[in-house]
Parts: sequence; structure tokens; C-alpha cells
Amino acid sequence: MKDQAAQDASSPAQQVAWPWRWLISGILIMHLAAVFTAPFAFVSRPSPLGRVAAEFFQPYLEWAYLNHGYSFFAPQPGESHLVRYRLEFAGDREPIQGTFPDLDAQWPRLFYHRHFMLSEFLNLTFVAPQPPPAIARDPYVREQWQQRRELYVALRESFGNHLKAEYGAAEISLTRLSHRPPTFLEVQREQVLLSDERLYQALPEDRSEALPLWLQ
Amino acid sequence: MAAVVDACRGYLHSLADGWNRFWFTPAEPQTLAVIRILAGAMLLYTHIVWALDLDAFLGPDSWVTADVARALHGPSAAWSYLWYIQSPLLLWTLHILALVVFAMLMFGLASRVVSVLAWLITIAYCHRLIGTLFGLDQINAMLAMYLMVGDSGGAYSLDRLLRRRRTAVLAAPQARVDTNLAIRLIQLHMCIIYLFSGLAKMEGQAWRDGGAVWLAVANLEYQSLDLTWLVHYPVLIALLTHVTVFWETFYCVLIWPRWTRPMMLALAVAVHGGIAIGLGMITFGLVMLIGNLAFVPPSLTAMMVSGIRRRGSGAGERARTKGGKLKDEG
Repeated sequence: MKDQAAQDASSPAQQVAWPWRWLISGILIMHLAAVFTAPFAFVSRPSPLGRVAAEFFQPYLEWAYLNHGYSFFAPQPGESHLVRYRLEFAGDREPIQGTFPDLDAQWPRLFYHRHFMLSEFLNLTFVAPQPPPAIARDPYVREQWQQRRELYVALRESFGNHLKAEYGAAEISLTRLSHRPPTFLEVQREQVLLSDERLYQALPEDRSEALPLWLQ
Repeated sequence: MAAVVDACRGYLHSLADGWNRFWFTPAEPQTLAVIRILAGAMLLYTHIVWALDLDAFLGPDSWVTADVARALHGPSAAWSYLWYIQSPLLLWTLHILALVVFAMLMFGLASRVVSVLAWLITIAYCHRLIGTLFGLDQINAMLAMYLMVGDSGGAYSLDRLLRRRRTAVLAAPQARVDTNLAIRLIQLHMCIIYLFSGLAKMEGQAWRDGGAVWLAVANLEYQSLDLTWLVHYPVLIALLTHVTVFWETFYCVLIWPRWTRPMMLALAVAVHGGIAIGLGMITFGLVMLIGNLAFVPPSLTAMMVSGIRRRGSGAGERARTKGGKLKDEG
């Protein structure tokens, strides 16, 4: 018994008095629980437990920028999204067309990647003007759809205003593009290049190709 | 019955002992210091890149204006002092101060204070710059948070250099409990990241059928090295895909035992090195490797740093000797 007490007194953990150990342990448990539950909020259909836990920790996670899903290249690597723009000027100045991200114009790589994330974010935020008829009857879905549509429109306008200010343009049109990777067979048999025009598709603004993630 | 109660009591005591040993054993600061230097450098570089077009990202006519950024966050606890900055002069002043803070963190000057400032600045930029962020920023913020917790300036820092000038004898870097807490937090956070990254991948058909790595290398916007020749080796693509998923998912288990830790760290170098070289995400690949450094024992870090220093001083000595000989011959 005396040996055990002597051993306890000399153990490294005893360098921290027990009240502090209890307090720090409590903080650690709460913090790690918050970090662990954060990804549950990022799946398209979170479990009830995941939703409740994530909501409990949400203010802390948001404040500390810890609210992440860590779904890198998940559920799977997919197509990329770019934005093509056309700027019109008052007077006789010729219109300017461009696309971002643009590896030739944006260096270093991180700078290019920031512009890439902007185009991806615009696509991620996209919501069509009206929800599909099948789900439009639900008033909650209609309200959510409308709110998200307003955010998309605000974001798109922000992009447009930025480019107009940068170039001194009077008008701008933005087109979202998807660029899918070629399949195995397309490259093996047809030698399709990654830059082949057939892999690019302009995305419509009046409808969604699929239900948004938050409704899936 | 008494035996069962005793067994339960013994089990709970051993759990408590294990918890105390895991969290409250003092650790030397060499590993945390190297993480400080590298994470500080990454934070500095990240924010230098914003400065290439600061107005476009943070100005009144930015890609995502402050108002739109706040609307995108919605009613949330996200915050940023940058939401209130409209003046270009003030924006640049604050940005340069931020760069100074990150540089001080990297060099370990006033480490305790600047580590807190660096974290606050990092998350303020992240909240303001919604729409431009990716994994790099998540890990930057994570490392900045945990660098606050421990004695990251306890080794390889200007703080120690200045202390050496003030005192005749400088003690060796001290093992501290807060340093151990910081390292453990980075370790566990890395485990959580990889676990959920692996689980999320399992929801995708391409990660299950072995085709995901092809989809990544065939993406022109990510491509920094042409790896499309892999199309002729579908088995290799499948192997890379499956190894990635298994490595991520089981990282949280296999990183701890000393027999499997070197293999997991070697795979981390392979995976993140591949991402950096092949998919153009050099910064993301590097910052993930910085996080993985938390699993390198401080004694090994100290040995490696000493080795680098010896090689460096040896090269310097040889250069001086060579210069001396040339002078004599002249």
C-alpha cells in the first residue's frame, strides 16, 4: 500500500494536481467529442444522433472553424467546374471573354487553386429558380429552396460585380461549365485528351441536373 | 460477486492510469517545435498568396463581398474582423501585421503570444474567405489551434536564443505536460480526419470498384503531372485506390503500435506526396505531412535536427578550409 502510494506520488501524471487533471480532462473530452461529431453533420442524410450531437457543438465548431466533414475527394473524385465569363463595355471597346480558374494566368499553384475553389463553390451553391414539382408541395422545402436560391443569386452577382469592377465593364454574363474526366475506355481506345471539347458542358441556369445534396 | 466488483474497480483504475499517462506525461518540445516552424511557414505562405490580389479576395469589390460572406454563413457563430474592414490602407496594414505574426511564429519569437494571435487571425481569414477554402485551410486552422496549447517555442526558436544570451547556461529543452497535450491533440485530430475521410470514400462507387485514382489523375484542373499513362495499368490504379481507402480508414488504429507506425507514416508520405506532385495540391500534401509529424518521437526529431546541423556545420567548415587553402595558394 505504502509502495503504491510512493509509486503514485512519483508518476509523471501526478505532476499535475488532480483538480487540474479533472478540469483539463473534461475540456479534452468535450473538444474531442465536438471534433468527432462535426463530420456527422456533413453527410447528406445525418443520423438523428449525429444531428443532435452536431447541433449541440455547433456554436463552438463554427466559431473555431472546426465544422468540417473531411470528405476529401469523397464520395468520389468527380467532374470539375469552371466559370466562363463575357464582359461587355460601353462604347466601342471589344468584349472580353475568359474562364476561371486559368492555370496560365494564375500562379503560383495555390493562387490558381483559390480561383478553382471559387468556381467549384459557385456550382455547389447553385439552386434552380424553382424546385421540382414533386417536392414543391412541401412548404418547408419551398422555404429552404427559396433561401438557398437567394444566396446563390447573391454569390453570382458578387462574382459578376467583381469582374466588372476589375475590367471596368458595363455588363457581364457568367456560364457555369462542368468538365468531366474521360473514362478508361475513352482514353484507351479513342485516345481522348483531357482537354477534349466534348468533355465540357455548359450548365443551365433554369434547372438542376440532380437534386441538391441537402435534399438527397 | 466481490471478485467481479474488484475486477471492475481494477479495470476502471487501469483506464484512469492509462488516461493520465496518455495525456499528462511531460513531453519534450522538439517535435512540436518543428511543427511550429513548418506550420508557421505554411501559414505565412498561405497569407502571402492572398496578398497577390488582396483586393480581389478581401476588398469591397471582392469575389465574395463581406456581406455575401456573412449571408452565406447565415445565423452562426462564425466571426471575422475582416467583415468590417473597407479601407484598402487598413486592410493592407492588418494583412502585413498578420504576416509578421506568422513569421514570428515560424521563427519562435514570443511564441506563447503569437501562437494565440496566429490562431485568431487564421480563423478570422477562414470565416471571411468562404468560397475559396479547401483542406489546406482546415489543417492550417487545426495546427494553429494546437500550437497555442503547448510550449512550441521550447526548442529551435528565437525565444531560446534570446534566453541563452541573457543567461550564462541555458537548460536543455524542458519536458512539459502542455507540450504533450498539444501533440496528443494533433495526433487524435489526424486520426479523426483520416477515419472520416476513409468512411466518406466508402460511400463512393469509384473508391469501392478501384477506379477513383483514375478519376483523380484524369482531372485536368487538378493535374500537375501527366499520369494518364496509368490507364494502361488498371490493376495498379485499383491497388492505389484500395490502399488509399484502407490506409485512411485504419490509420486511427495502425498509427499507434510501434511496429506499424513507420509503415503508416511511409504511406502518408506516398499518398500526400502523390497528391502534391500529381494533383497540384502541394500545400495540402505538405500540411498533412506536417500533421503526421506529431507521431515522430521528440528524441528522433532531436537526432534528425542534430544530424542536419552537423552536416550543415561540416559543410561550412569545409567551405572555410577550402577558402583558406585558396588564399594560401594565391
